[in-house]
Amino acid sequence: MAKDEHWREKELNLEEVKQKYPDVSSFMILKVDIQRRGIVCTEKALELFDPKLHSSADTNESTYLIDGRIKKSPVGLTLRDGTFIPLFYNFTSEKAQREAYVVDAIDGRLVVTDNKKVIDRVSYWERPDFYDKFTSKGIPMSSLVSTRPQRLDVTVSDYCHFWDKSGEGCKYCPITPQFRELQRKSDKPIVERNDVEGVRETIREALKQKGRYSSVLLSSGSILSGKEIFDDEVDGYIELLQAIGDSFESKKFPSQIVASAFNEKQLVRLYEETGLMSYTTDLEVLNKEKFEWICSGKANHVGYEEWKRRLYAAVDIFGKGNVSTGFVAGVELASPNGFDSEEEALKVILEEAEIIGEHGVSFAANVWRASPHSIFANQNTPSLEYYVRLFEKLDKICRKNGVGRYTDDYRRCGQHPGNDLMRI
Amino acid sequence: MSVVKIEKELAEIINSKETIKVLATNDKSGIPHVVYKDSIHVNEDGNIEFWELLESSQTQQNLVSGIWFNKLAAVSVLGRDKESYQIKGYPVECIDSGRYFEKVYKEVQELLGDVELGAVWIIKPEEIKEETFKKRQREDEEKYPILKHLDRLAKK
Repeated sequence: MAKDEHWREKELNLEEVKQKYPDVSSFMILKVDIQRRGIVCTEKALELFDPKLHSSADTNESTYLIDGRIKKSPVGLTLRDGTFIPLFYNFTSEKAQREAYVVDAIDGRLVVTDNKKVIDRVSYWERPDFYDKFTSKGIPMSSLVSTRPQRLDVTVSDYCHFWDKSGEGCKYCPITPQFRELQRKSDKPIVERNDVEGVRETIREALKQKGRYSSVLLSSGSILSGKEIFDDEVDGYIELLQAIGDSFESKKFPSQIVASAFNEKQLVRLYEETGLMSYTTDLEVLNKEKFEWICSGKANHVGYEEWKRRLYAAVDIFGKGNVSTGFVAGVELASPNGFDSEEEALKVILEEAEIIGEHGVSFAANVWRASPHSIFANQNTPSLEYYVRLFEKLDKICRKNGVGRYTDDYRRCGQHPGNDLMRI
Repeated sequence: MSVVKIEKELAEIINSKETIKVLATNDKSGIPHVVYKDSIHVNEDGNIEFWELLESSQTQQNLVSGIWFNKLAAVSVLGRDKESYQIKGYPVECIDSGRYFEKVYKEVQELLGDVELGAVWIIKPEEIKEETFKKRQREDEEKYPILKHLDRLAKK
């Protein structure tokens, strides 16, 4: 889809949305818009970026190229209210429907700007100490564990096996197509699974930096193999969680997995055999019909209703407030089979969210970006106002059901701006 | 916009360990919340800074509300010699990660043992008022001589 030069005239802008929704955090609205439209750095802003001090994209550089020009780039920004914005450069500014925000340096201070107007002061995420270290086998620890400002991120597998069969990969997702491209371009084989012993050593090293981390997140592309579907994925999580758990005195430690929809037996194993405290499995689209179109792999192998049932079963095992579901907010409006209007989409999505929330499940909604490499690469994403209305209502649903605080939140994650609203 | 500066003498009172320090905030609906905060001090930039140990506290929530919706917080201090000041200001930054956060985290643990640090808060002063009783009484009597019980004026 070509860039619409007049897009600003066709939707409410940041200031107009802030004025229309004065009871919603203006920081959150800015975060949504940055995620929706993307962000680029000026040369001046990059002069303030020092890969020795700031977190850069060490682990997967090609994901973070800005229009193919910059190799070492910041991976995130912190706003004045203490919330985080992970930066994803996997959009190209030539193709995006709307202009991206710009990180600039004015009078030596880092700021976010739009249309040359300064919006607010920001700072780059800082580099963790362990990024300079190597495991006993000589592997860079930064290639095994990545970080957010308050979180350690560990991946079981970068590859999602829903993509094994053509047409079954989630249509908004660029991760597995990017992984395949990396494999194609790489001289040496790229290992799908993480190195358990290396992770064990890295976590022990990371914890020497006091005050740096308040949680551990594990995630994985779906692994369908095993006696029962996902058994091998569960084994992967258990193995890594036990290795990570070796660094803690208490059995349970602040932790989360974002995983496939496991059955009760698998969930009980995770809860009893590891220090895991919270569980997330992503429904991705809060509507059966759209889910079956957009996430056909998930639909074919598990099914929408069964995915939900497993989510609810997890609440009985991990406890209310410790189970959430992620979804890609806005993708329900993708063409050609998505909802025809934002109004209709909001109504249907929120009715479903009400039901899910009543089962003690909270939400980790992502703002949909039409990422290159994804099947939906050239689609247009919803308006800023759509997201604000959605997140305002989701916040009410979570409060009503007493869930959502401190899971996938402003500090431990930062990826789900709607969850910031639970801070007050 | 005028810049309100905390003078050196007041900064010394605020930074003294013998001073009693209180922080008042409001929640989104205006309900007040007042707490003692020993960590309140004036930092190198001339702003009020303090450490919120509990991430889930009402103070933390109210200051988030303050930074989001431009609501004032108030600090009241009572020094060793009964000198008292109120400083009103806007929360302008919540530091909950990074090198400075880690430095304070270690300081807090050295001081208080095995405790958490939710955030370091920065409050930019907007208004400073001396509330020392003797001074306020003088001001009051000069400005409002009508506000006096008659027995205080009666012949002895």
